[in-house]
Amino acid sequence: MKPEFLEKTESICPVCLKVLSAEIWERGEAVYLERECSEHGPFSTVIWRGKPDFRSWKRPKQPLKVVPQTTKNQGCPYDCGLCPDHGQNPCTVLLEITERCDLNCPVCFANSGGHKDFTPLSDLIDHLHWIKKTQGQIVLQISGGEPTLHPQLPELVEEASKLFPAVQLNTNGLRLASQSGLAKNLAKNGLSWVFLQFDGMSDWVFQALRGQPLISRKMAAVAACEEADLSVVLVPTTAKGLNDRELGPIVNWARSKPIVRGVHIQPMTQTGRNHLIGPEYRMTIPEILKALSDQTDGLLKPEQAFPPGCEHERCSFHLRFRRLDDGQLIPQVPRADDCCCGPGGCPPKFSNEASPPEETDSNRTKAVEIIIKSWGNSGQVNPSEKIKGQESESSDPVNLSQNSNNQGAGNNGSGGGLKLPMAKKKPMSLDDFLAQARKETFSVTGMAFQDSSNMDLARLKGCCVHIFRAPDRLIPFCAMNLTSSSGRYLYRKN
Amino acid sequence: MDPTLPDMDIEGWFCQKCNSPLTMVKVNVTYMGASFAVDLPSCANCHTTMIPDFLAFGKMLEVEKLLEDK
Repeated sequence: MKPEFLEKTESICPVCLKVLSAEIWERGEAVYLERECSEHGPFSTVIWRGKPDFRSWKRPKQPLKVVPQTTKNQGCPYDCGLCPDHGQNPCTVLLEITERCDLNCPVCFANSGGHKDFTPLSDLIDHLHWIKKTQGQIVLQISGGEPTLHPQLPELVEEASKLFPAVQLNTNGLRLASQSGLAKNLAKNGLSWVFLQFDGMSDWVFQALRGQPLISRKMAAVAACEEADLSVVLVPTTAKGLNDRELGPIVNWARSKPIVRGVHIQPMTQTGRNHLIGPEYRMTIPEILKALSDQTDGLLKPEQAFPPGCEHERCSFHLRFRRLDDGQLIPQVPRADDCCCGPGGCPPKFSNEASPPEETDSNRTKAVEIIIKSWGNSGQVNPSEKIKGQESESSDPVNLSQNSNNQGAGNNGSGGGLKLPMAKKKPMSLDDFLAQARKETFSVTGMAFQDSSNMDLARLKGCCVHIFRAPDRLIPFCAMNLTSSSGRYLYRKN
Repeated sequence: MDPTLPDMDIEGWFCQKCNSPLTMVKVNVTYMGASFAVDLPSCANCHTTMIPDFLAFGKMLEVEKLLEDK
């Protein structure tokens, strides 16, 4: 097949991190990001391999004008952040509360470990208030190091849950497994869900990626959360040829555990302390989707996956399902025979490059709501209500269901795509359905973080997952963890 | 009658198409593979059904939001 030029963008030199103009080319079965450094030569990195086609994976957005914390000086990625060139506010902010960790993983992007200090609780509470004041209604992720080692984590969770609609704990789970009552205490204090490092179903996977066998302790962590009625999202770091065959088994196990609300796949990057450096380990989004399909006997299909509305289209994917009692998954995408758009189903929603760019900030607000309803505790209130309830006191949440004087006539679209009057299953009441559907959602998602070899600055500028850096900076995740090929960080301390 | 929905007074409502009075009937609504029953005013003759605003912008909108994608 003749090589085809696809896009112009900007990237960096993996050796010196200098900004370079770059081009995206399709060559044979794969799509490459290509650039040349005058000092270190040409670089070409695979960024897409397989179906869906690179050209069809589109979700254009109108860049947002953020309220900058810095001025434009050297340009992206050197002026974080956020700088005036950034195009999206955060839906998720990470607060790193310690660099200490009880594991010493060979693949840690944050280079955590050892017996480093804890940030004092009073400082952390100040940080929470700064994040709330500047960013409003976001999902707060408490991270590290290993945040469960922080002696005042429960107090921090309690404070955070008063300020944000959802608080997520990013953890290896070892303390949840070993410390009796910790999961219950965190749930009582308002933790929304646990983001649990979970790379496979066998000890050898953890031995390879984490340096020790951990599967029984991971299972114990999930059991502790189950006992505490605390939702769990399993987060595998995935490397091709190493644990990519674990994705199906993880999803199949997860869907049998009601407390597990989703699987969030993170293909391994060459950042921080990663001893498994090499392009042979990288998985692109289509390769993950194919692995999921192959390993679940087609239960998960690549065509059920969609690009994101909040971050750049090539940064993540999501598949959303309703999960029935027997673990069966019902995809939440309109089917051709059951669609508001009539026979043939909806027109391809994200496949047309000419479709108008979506409005970035409303998509961010929507993303926060969807994250909460996808991953939050099944007993949690409607996320829209929770977000509204935390807005300023002058705001007036509207309960439309009580507005009974405002009736309108006609069946030509008032139902917003609902189809009458056929039913294929025994119907239940709307309230019963809503209560059940909130508990039943199950998602398989993935986020393709970037490193120095595949960094596309257009993607970085659309980032909405930011790490707080005291006293007043937000650094996009992939900029914060960016390291040169020799291991030199751009933002973190080396 | 769904006890969670407010009473609807349909006295005096007629179908615009065939001028028959509306009556309350249980309607089965399907959306993305899910189905639920709702009492709604419907024309006894042509079965055209009215979805009041409070339902369209209330619980039905909530259902759509619950099932939509990111």
